[in-house]
Amino acid sequence: MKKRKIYHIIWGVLMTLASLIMLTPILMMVMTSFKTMDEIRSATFSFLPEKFSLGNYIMAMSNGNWLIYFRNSICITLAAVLFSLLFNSIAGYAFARLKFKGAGVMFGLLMVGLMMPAQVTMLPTFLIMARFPLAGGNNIWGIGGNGLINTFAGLIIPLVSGSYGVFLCKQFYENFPRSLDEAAEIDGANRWKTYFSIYLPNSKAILATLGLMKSVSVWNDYLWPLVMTNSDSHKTVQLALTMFKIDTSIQWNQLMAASVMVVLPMVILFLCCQKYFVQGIVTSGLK
Amino acid sequence: MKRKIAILCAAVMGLTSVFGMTGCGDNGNEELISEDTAAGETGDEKETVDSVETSGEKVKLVFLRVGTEPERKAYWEKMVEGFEKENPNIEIEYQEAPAGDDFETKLNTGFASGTAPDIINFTLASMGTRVPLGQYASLDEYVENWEGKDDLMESALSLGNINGTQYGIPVIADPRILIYNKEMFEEAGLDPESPPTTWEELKEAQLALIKKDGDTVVQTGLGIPTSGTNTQHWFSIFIEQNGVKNLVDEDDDTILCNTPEAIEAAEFMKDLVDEGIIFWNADNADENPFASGKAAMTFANDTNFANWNTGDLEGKIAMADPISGTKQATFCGMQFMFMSGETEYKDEVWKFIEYVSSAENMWTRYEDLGAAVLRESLKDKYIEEDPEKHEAIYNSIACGTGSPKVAYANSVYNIIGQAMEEIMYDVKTPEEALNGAADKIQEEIDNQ
Amino acid sequence: MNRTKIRKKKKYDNCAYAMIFPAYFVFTVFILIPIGMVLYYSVTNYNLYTSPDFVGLKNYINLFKDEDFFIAVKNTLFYSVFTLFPQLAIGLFVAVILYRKSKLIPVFRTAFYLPNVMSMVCMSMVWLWIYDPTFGLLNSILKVFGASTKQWLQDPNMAMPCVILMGIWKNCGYSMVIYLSGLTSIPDSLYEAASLDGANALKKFTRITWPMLRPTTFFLLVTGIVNSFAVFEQINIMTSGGPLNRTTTIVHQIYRRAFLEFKMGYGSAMSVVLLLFSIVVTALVFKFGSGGQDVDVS
Repeated sequence: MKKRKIYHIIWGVLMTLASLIMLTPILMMVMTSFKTMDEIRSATFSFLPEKFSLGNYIMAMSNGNWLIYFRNSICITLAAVLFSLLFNSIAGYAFARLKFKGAGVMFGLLMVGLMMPAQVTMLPTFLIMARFPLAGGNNIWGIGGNGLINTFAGLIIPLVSGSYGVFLCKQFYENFPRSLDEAAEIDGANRWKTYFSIYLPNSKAILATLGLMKSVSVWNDYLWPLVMTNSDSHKTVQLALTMFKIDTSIQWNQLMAASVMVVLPMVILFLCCQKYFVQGIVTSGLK
Repeated sequence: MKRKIAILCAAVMGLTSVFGMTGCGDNGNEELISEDTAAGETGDEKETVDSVETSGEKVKLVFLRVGTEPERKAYWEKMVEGFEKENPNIEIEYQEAPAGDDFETKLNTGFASGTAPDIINFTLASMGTRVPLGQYASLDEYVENWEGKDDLMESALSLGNINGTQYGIPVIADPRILIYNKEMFEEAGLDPESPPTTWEELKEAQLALIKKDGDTVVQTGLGIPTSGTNTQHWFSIFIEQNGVKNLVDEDDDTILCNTPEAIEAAEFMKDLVDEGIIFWNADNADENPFASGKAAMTFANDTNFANWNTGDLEGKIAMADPISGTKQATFCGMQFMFMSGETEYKDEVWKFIEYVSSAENMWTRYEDLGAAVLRESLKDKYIEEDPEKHEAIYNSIACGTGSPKVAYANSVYNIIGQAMEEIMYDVKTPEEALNGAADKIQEEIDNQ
Repeated sequence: MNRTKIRKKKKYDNCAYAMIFPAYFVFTVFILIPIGMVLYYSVTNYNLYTSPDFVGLKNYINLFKDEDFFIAVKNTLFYSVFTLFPQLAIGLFVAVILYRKSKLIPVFRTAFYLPNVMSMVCMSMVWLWIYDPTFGLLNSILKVFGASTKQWLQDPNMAMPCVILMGIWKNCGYSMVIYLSGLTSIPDSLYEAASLDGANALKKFTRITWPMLRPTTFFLLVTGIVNSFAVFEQINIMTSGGPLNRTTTIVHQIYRRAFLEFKMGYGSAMSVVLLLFSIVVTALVFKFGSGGQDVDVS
């Protein structure tokens, strides 16, 4: 018994140390957000700021319309995540459980989509957006206007697709006990009903996981909003951060203060999701 | 397992079939786009003639500015407001994007999709590649009768000129001025009031200013960057001081970066660096050792100076006139106002460019942003404000040369940047590195 | 492949098409068609502005003469191997250590996962400081111990390892969390039975934990390979490919050629090569890695 306790303490100390190392860069970011520019530039490095004042936060948040930027980012993330969760999990279920012609090819193509970096498909996708028929002044052939450029629809729709999500959901549903399906079949439920009444309610873990990962990637996305938005009223928080990154000099303290504010919603989201998080991603939580 | 391989094979096949399909679809798309722009081009003149003057309709222009600094945004918004007041039938939509690669991406997507802005505020370095593509329109017909033509500094105006055609009107200069730390000069026994003016003096100052702690250099003289694409700016400064026109001759595509004078300049740079090397990446301006008090001299612009002249360095730094090797010279970037080659409203775009470039608004630019004035008529007034500093700035602009305005310019920057890294890291001698660079540039020219 | 399928199947479910339609439609319009367009561009001289002309395989032929591209391929492979395996190993190690009952677990888990939540742009800038030769954290620590300072990102031999270290830091939490979830699905009864047989901890790991985690490892490998082949953001911010091209990667080269030098056709050819490369490697992983748990557990 005693030996066990000692082990436990050693374990705790070691893990605390490892955690601290992992957190160092993040703590540096937080500490810098309290420093003055002179402190940051001084030749001697110090981890802690001279004093904790919220001056940088107030300064940073009073530049530009942060309420609008946060509203935009939250709306875009919510919409993209909700739709992609729904679409991807249904598709994942179909790939995992249903037999249909061309399933292999279609899934293979999805995997190919996973492999193309976003930087590469960005321009063609943008052209499709600009030439989207019957949107933003375009006629039915996609000529005449700006299409979906600088609209929320244009920002959200491409982010809804997700090979990763379908892959993850497929892996997850493949490990669901088949007996559940059979029971549903005996009850006379069709595939939709089976999905909505049996699979979806048992997918909390995977949906929380996927939801968090998707939120993080949409929230942190920089390139797509950069090319898609023109006006201040459509800016996202990541774009707004460039305000402090001036070519000649970077306002480190304000940049870091604003970055802390920007990352906070994601940290909170993670803390909320994490109890579902570990319950099962690749293999099922149902035994 | 076999099934999985089959899936992947099928995926590849499926992809090829999709390629077949979208290839056609894409062609169609492409044609539609080019049709669209072609229509815009042919219809241009007619539309501009009767667009505004006759009809009372409001014209809407899009203005895209480089950079996201809040102070500059405030200035440009003020300009837009003032202009709209004077021209009630023109509405200007202000847009901005971060400087550097992001801005290029923004322009690329805009031009590729036919949704480019009408008025563009961007750098000199973009001209070489974008003018041959027809993305910037010629301003000759407007400049000819413009009062500002004779008043703007000749060197600044000529930076916006390619083969006798004016494409850009200069607004904000980005000259590389010699900035030095007076305190360090004093400590090293040098006269803080007489910074180096020639290469010999520069070398002397370099030797006097270097401080070492054992083998590590704790302070150097001129902090030359050792990596990053922007090292090519530094190389340009030195070759131009040694009488070389530019990296490449814009008029006839002669490569000048490996002429004996250019190699001599690189050797001189290497010489200075070897006395006391401090490694830093020129692409991250924040790393400049001058800012952290590890270098006594640097080449940077007036905005950098203003930023550094706070905190530890406050009151200790000063600007000096350009150095000369065989010729007084420096590198001078420039922000221009460009007219999009795709705009339907040329006259209106020019009106805005003219408004921004007026003497009065140029002075506002100085007052609000500290930007150097570019008109001869404002020179005296400007220098009076702060004689010592402003004279150095003005002189640096006057003898400044920018990046070469050639279609393959972006490749030149990368190639020269790489050659500089090879020199600084002792991988190749200056001669080898620059000859190699010249070969690569020649390849780019041949590929045009 | 049809024969095996026919043997197993009862009937096709046509409502499956309706079920995959929403996801597949968006996927087709915004991923597949763009990939098709990239394939098309790769055989043209598209320069982002004027309408493209067909040039055949010229771009692909030029690729084989491009030294920078070969360096980029080599760097990308180096990065992938040395990020992926340590990341998986650390993830697995921490997951196994953390898999026990303690109130501190959520705290540690958060600490390890948090880097993954941060934006790459922001974290790259923080790591730039950590590596700064003058006032960076690493050199400050070295100074405290009296060791000589290093140039880190400015040193051609250190630059890539520095970028890799940051990559591992950013992603090992992700591997850990996924391994943890894999661990929760291993039935305790297996361990109990092993204990009765007198197996030690190491034996339990090699005989039970590791084989049972195979689907998890497979999943992490596939997504990890794809991610590390696409490494770009941190490179662009921290080193912009230098010094001496030691950190340039395939996507970095694509970005530079296509968007900064306006050679969209050439950049597209690189993208296609990258895509084929990823397909081949993933296919190999599928072939050698997926046998076992993830198929037909039922």
